[in-house]
Amino acid sequence: MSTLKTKQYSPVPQIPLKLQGKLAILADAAKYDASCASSGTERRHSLNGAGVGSTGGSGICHSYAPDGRCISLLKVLLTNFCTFDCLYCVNRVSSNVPRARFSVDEVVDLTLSFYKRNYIEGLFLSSGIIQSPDYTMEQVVEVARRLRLVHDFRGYIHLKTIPEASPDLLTSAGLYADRLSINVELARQSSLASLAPQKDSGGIRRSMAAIRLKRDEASDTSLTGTSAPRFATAGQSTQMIVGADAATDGELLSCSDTLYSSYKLKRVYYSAFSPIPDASAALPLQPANLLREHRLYQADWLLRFYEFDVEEIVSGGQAGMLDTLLDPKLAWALKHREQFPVDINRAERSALLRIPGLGTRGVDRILSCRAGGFLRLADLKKISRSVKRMLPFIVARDWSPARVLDTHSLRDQFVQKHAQLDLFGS
Amino acid sequence: MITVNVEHAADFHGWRAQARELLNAGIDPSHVLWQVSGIDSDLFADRNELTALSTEESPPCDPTIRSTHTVPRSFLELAELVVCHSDASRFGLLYRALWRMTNGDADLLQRATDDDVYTLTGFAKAVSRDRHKMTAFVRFRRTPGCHHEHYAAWFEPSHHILRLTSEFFCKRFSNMDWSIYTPEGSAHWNQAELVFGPCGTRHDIPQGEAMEQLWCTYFANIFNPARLRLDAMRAEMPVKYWKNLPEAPIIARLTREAGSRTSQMVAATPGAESKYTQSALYRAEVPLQKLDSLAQLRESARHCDLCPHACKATQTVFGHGPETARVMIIGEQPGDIEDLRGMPFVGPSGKLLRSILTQLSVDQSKVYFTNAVKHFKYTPRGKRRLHQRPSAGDIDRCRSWLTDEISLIKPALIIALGSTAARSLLGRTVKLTEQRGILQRFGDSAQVMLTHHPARILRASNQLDRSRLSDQLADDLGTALSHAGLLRQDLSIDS
Repeated sequence: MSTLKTKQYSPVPQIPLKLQGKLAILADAAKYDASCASSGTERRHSLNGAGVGSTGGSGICHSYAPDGRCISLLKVLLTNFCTFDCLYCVNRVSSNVPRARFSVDEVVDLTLSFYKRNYIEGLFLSSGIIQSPDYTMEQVVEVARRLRLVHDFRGYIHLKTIPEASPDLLTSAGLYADRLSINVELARQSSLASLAPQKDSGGIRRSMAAIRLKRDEASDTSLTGTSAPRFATAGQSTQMIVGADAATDGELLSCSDTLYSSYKLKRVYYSAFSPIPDASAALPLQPANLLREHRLYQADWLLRFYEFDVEEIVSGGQAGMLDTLLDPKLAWALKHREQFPVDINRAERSALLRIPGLGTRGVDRILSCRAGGFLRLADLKKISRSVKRMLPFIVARDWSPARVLDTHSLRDQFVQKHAQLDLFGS
Repeated sequence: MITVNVEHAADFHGWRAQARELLNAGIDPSHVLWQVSGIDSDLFADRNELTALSTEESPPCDPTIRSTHTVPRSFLELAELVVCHSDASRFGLLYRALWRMTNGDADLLQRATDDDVYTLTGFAKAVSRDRHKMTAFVRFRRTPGCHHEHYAAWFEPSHHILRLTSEFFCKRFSNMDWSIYTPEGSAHWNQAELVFGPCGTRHDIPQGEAMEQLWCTYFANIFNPARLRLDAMRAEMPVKYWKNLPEAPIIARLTREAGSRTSQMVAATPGAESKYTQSALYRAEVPLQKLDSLAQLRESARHCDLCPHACKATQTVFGHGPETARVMIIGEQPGDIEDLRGMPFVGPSGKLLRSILTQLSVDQSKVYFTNAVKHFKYTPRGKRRLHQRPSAGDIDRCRSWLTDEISLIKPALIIALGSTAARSLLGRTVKLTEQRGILQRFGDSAQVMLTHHPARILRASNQLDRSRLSDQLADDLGTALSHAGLLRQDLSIDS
């Protein structure tokens, strides 16, 4: 036992805070990252291991906060000290929020204690950038390394990657983590330059490219001999802030489209710029535009699963912005009425996917039910819960919309119905 | 009427065995009455049920009910869920579906519109959801006084899912002892064996734990008061589960305070900058070394955004090779892999070209590789990028980079692959079919050879075209290199 304490130089002021206080500060600092996914990784369990943890299939949301967001992971920052001055960020160097820093073991212990009580699926660890990008990344990776190698933890780990960090650190991060992410933050490169002057959009993209290449390598089975080590099996994701600059929905979606195709991202998260404590004078606060964020997620879905391209999606709205009053598929359909009605008994998959109110599963069910005879509206009600919304756009055995599609007030009727149902109404 | 008994409320194996016998005896579903014989009268039975868990995988389900009656595996998977439903009609409904499937309606499950299928899938969905919520909302508390770690939880499911869901907890919490009590029965794991026991009450578990305070701290602080959406919370975390969630009691306070917290943030006048701003602000290190001229050119090209598609690319893919190279090979534009790696000719076309060069014994480290256009132009298509041909405008906008590369490197031989490279090099559109394979003078001291781009070979629709184009490319490269006196001399691997 030693009573001597070596005093090390650290540019980061150490504030003695009890664990509870640190957790409060470092969870508060992490909440602007929307991602809480714990799905899409390999199947693991602990029956043949020494620790706890399992993954596989869909993730589990262990709780929901009153903001409606799922709590699946322990989402914290290692520290909220940061040497960057990103104006939209609660942790920017110029902000006066209270600061704290976890030790590596504190995060490891918290993760295991929460996990063993079934509060969480795993850990999502991010950090403010202290000392140097490499130093910060090393600390983040060390938490994951200890969880995996010392405690044989087999739950989910999501690490935030620091673009400027060295390639070796990225390799170890990918070895221990299920998911890696780097936030592009803003779709417009010029906005990033003015709002986050220390960030480098080129560096962000090159890091995403590096992650994709390493994932390609790890999943490449064509080479014989030694295969590349495991690398972030749940892929990579990113986040864009909505409403901190003047970028249109079209610009945001086009940026997502670029990112999905270039780096095979699993998800792009959209986070409505939301009021933060001690905001910057240069970036005035306004209430978070949750409705806009919601429409972007819907549009993102159309992009990924419904064979829509960005131009088509945006054509449902005006001047590059989506119609906030209607879901983007319905908005598109109302502006392209010449493509309807679609006969659910004859149309191809691609045409069925365009019907407002009909999801991909519904489409698959319609296709597999056709063998059993022509579908009527009663049948459709067993397949989908939103048959009413489809009615003007479809033909069934016992239904034809007649002139409904020619009605000018059709949009207004839908807007009224939507307003009644709207999650955000009031 | 025949009365058939299953042993407990979620007895899938019992149902399956009975159904098999009924089916073999040809008994119509309308003549069968299904009953649950007693609610887990056999306490602490089933000791062996989970032994299979200790091995890697459970044995695969037998896809046949009887050799002459086959049902798809998907039906058994459905049935395993449906038997856990609380509806009394579940066993009979399942047998009826089985009967129909084995009596001429094999594809029954494909028809979501059938009434039985609709009901059964509805049951399965409800059970799946309940099971999922159990995996989510069980909250363990550490039992005090135990010398080893033991955890216990109280949970109230809506259906008979304890047995079905226990496997999840065994696989996840394999190396700790735990017990889950429900109003219908309990499950106990001792790191080796799963045992089902009698029902319990909420008093079977410890009342509260210090860790729950930390969990509530986390819950309160991960919540963003500026985005209150109670409906979304309640939809996914129904109020019926709240009574057993340690975080639930603070929801009301968080909700009540959200509005004023948000308006305070919006109304607050921004204060002065924090005291750390000047001392701690990050400044990226800028390399101070003196750049030679090619490096300078590369550095300026890195920031080029002359073309509209530059912002969609990962990076400028500049030329690569020694400044002293005597041969320069120009391609069209970087492709997907080149864009990601920031190097020319490292994708499929590059591999083809390099294999031809290797066959010609050319030392590639002495060749300067570059492209006419330095940014990848493409159309996003799902998770792929479709190559887009650069327009004449794109080529001309990017041309000055190539001109600068040539005047710095002063190669003796320039090989232009494809019409894009030819246009960029010569400043006008040329017909490749007419000029391919002819060595031409370029400027005062260099020679130029126009030939196919290797991508053209990869795109060829048949083997015949492929080998013809490939031979032509190899011939052209060989001719050019040997006429320029470079083959097997300066460029040879083993000279």
